[in-house]
This record gives sequence, structure tokens and C-alpha cells, in this order.
Amino acid sequence: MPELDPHLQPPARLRLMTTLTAVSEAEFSTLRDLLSVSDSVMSKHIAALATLGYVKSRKGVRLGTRTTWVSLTGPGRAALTAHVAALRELIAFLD
Amino acid sequence: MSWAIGAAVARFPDTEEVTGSIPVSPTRFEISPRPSRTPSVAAFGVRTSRRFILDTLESSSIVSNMENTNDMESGDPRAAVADAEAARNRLVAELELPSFFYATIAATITAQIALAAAGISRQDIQGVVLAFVGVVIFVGVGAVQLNRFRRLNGVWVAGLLSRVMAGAGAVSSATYAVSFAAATWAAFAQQWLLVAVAAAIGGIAFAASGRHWWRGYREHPTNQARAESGTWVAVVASVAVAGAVLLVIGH
Repeated sequence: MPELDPHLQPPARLRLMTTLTAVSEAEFSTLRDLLSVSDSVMSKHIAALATLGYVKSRKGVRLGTRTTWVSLTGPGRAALTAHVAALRELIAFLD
Repeated sequence: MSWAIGAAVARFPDTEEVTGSIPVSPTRFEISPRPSRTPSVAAFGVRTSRRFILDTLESSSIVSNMENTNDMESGDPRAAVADAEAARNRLVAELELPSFFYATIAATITAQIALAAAGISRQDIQGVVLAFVGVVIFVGVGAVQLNRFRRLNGVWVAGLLSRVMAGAGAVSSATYAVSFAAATWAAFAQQWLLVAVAAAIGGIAFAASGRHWWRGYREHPTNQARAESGTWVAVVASVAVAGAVLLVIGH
């Protein structure tokens, strides 16, 4: 039975993780603008998810500026799948 | 050390908001590498009411942790899932391909097939150089276009490299192989117009296959974003090399 993951309950994290499933890697400012959050909020979410091993980040360059690229890890993908499955099960139950 | 927490509503100033020089009190526990157990759906039981589930979620911080932005008005799991999927779909909808993307793919594949066919038919070192030049042109143009895509969108999609540029999909692999074989046969027969036609057909089919993949990706991004498996790419590459060797040996 899938369980809700407490680390994916903040909506910004769920949005971040779900967005990363569509790409192999995304640049920090792209994610920040998409999710409409500040730099500090985005940094903290990424740092928290990286600590859990759900995402990995690396330094890179885009348009001549040093930036951070973020990608989903295998355990992160599995955690997200289980969390969304639990949410969908809950939705089905509520319906 | 104990901290006073005065917020009546769920806010997370220590993790979510920018503060001044005075440290704010923590509003949540530190994240441990091992997620704590949270209620599973089954734990609610079949006879539990909707109100009870939502109340339980609220009290176990599942709802209150849905902080940070103004667009989450309630702890409704439907809203959480829909919101996350909307963000993903918005990103994918906003992705743009660089200008002349498919045209350059078609042109470089056409050139690569024609040069490789002509090179193989020569059966000498100059022919090898000719075939190599075709590969270099294709790899160079492909690298430039992929880099433009990355700079333009701020994302990287591995499927774009494997399926669109490298042609690892079944259709693009098959059409490339047939076109390459036809162009090489025509080159051995000194039918240069046929070489050009076969190469052009191969280039156009290759680009069309890539365009088809891109449309599928935009509809189902989660299924399509990742690159082909290394095994499949190795199989396709092996078949391509074996086919080229057989063409040379056959003549």
C-alpha cells in the first residue's frame, strides 16, 4: 500500500519533483520562474531534496552565467511515484 | 534550547522565507534521510468519513505542510496533484526548438548518407575520409542545435539526443538503414542522382521521425523524456556497422 511521503507534501516540492520528471535536467532559474518562488525558497527545497537523495544538482554555465542544474534521481522518481499513487488512492477514496 | 513559536497559521519562516539577521525559530523538524512513517491510505479504513480523513491529514501536518505559495488554498489532494501536473505541463508547453531545427537535421543526414555512400563506393582512403567528413558534419551540427535548445529553454531532454539526433527510434533507424543501403548501392552503380534522392529521402524521413517523437513527448513528457537504454543504442549501432561492412564486402 503506497504511503504519503512527508518530504513531498509541500506543494512546491511536489511541483518541483513532478516537473523534473518531464526533463532530464533543468536549470535553477527556469524552475524558480516556473514555480513562482524566490531564489531562497527554491534553494532550500533543492537542498532538502538533495539531502534526501531525491534530486541531484551540479554547477554549470548557461548564457555565460554560472548556475545550478537540477535533475531527478532514481530514488527520487520512485518516491514521487509512490507519493502520487498514495494521493491518487486517497482521491479515489474521497470520491 | 527551546524556541517560542507565535504563528497561528502554518508558516515556515526558517525554511521558506527570507529573514533578517536575527535567527527565527524552527517550525519543523530536520529532515532525516529516512522518511518517517506517515498514514497510509489503508490506515483510514473503509468506513471512515471524508471529514475524518481531511481532519487527520490536517493534524498530521500533511495539509499544513502544503505551505509556501498562495495558490494552495486547501489540503485537497486533488489540488496538489493537479497543481503539480499543471506545472510540469506548463514547462513542456513552453519548450521551444531552435530555428530551422528539423531542416538542419534533414540536411545534415542527407549530406552524411551521401558522403558515406560515395566514400564507401570509392574503396580507398579518400573514401574513408569522405565518410568521416559526413559524420563530423552531422555531429557538429547536432551538437550546435542541442546546445541552442539547452540555452533557449534552460532544460535538457535526453530523449532529444537519442531519439531525434541519434535516431535511436525504430522508425528512424529503419528508414536510415534503407536509405543508406539504397544510396550506397546507387553509388557503386555510379548513379549519383539516385544517391542524392536516396540520401534526401533518408534525411527527410529521419527528421520527420524526430518531429513525431517531439509531438509524442509534448503529449506524454514523463514517458518520453528519458533516453533510450544503452543496450538498445548498442544494438542499433552494431546493426548499422554490420550493414556498412556487409555492403563493402558484398562488392
